[in-house]
Amino acid sequence: MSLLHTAAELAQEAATYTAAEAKANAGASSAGYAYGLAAIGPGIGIGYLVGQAVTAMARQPESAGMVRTTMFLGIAFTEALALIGFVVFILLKFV
Amino acid sequence: MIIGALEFPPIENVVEWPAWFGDGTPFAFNKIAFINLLAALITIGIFMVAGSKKAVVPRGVQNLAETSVDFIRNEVIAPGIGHGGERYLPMLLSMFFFLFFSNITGIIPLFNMPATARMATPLVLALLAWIWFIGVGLKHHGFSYITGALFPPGVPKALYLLVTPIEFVSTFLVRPFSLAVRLFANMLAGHILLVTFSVLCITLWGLQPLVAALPLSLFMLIALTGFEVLVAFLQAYIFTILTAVYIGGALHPEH
Amino acid sequence: MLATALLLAAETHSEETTKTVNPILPTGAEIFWAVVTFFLLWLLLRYVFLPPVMRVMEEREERLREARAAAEGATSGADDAVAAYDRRVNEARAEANAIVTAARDEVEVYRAQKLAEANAEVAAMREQAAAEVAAAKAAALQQLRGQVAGVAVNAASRVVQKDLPLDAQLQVIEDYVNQANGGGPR
Repeated sequence: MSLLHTAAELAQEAATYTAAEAKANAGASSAGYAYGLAAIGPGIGIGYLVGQAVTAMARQPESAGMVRTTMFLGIAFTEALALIGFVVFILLKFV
Repeated sequence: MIIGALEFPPIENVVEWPAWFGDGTPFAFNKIAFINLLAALITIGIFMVAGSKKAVVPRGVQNLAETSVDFIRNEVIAPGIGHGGERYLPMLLSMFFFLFFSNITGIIPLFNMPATARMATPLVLALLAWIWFIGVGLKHHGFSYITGALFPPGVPKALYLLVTPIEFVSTFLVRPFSLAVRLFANMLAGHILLVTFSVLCITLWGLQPLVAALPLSLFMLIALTGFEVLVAFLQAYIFTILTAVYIGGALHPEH
Repeated sequence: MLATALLLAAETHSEETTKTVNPILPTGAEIFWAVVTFFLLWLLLRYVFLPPVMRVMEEREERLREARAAAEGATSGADDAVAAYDRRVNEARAEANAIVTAARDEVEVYRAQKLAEANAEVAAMREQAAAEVAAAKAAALQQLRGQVAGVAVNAASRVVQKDLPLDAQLQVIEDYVNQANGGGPR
């Protein structure tokens, strides 16, 4: 949809468009998709990770501290992907 | 950018700050630098006050300082580095406090800007952690640290074609990058969220028929502020413990 | 794809670029101040302000360890006292048991001795009584034999109206008495 939109706009007003405006429009319309797609995998990953950590803690409450530390580490690694997606969003949107 | 009547400020108004003095020079001192300086000074002040007291039962500032030392020792060094990690305590402790105070200014009125939502602080600390863990590896294992990291033992020889580039990228390039980007993006995202809901609240206040939706927006603003407190602590903790894990990996490469 | 291609075309077409601020890149001055402030914090903490705090904590730890050691010493002393007491109690109990056992043995011996004496006395008395009985029996038997012989001879001489030779009669009576005495119905 955004592609069509952008393409149509470009076709209509190609003459009056400057490169910067065209880039800004295309970037802005794809930025949302970039972040949305980047959030899918880490969302599933973090959900699975925390679920498993909760199971582990419920099974062995005495090792909850160790599990929690490892869980935060895993979340940090998984979350990095979503955050890179966010940076891409910023780059597409504002640069 | 204007969506309906909602006017979102340009991004540079949200993250860029004018210099207070020294504009144009490499020493331009703006809000970010001020927050960094304040973070350092507050931490120093805490430990200065705590060090001057010698109470058997710690209270107040002394308790805070000793609890944080214990926290770094038990929650960061013990799981991250293991034995032999005690000598990295001052560095990890200052890292944690510096990051926490730089983060928490994002929700403190009149600051309303986490210093870590600019790339400078995360970049500096991530590069420091990078240099530090490579230095620890080289110091304790010599050049065999590099070869050990690039050519992990127990892998068939032919697989080194595949493994070595991956190990190189993941150990020596991705680590500092992800460390810096994780902190920066978390804080910037939180900052932008807070700005968005603040702008929404202000706009709704002026729109007569839609003012009924103001409580929802205000509730989200308050909830996100609470969430940002958690994020500020958690990101400082994660940055510190990842640095500790990297140092531990360089110190005991066999694990 | 189409949009990207068009974009690239448009970009190469007009070289006009507007100066946009990249919100991600830091400025040099911010990096400078971050380095300065962090190293200020790190060095001051490392060499000036952290050691006193650590020393206080270490002293407290040391004191705690000493107190714990003292407490453990006191506990083990108490344990020793309890063990000594237990040992003494056990010794006393064993001694008491020994005394009781010895007394019981002594009593047993005394009783056995007394019993044996009594038995012997009883046996002697029984012996004597039996001898007396046997003597009385023999005397009675002797007397009875004489009387029976007299009566029998008398009766027989009355029956046959003549005197029987005494010797033969005595022999017959003797046999009879012996038979009644020894082979009679038991």
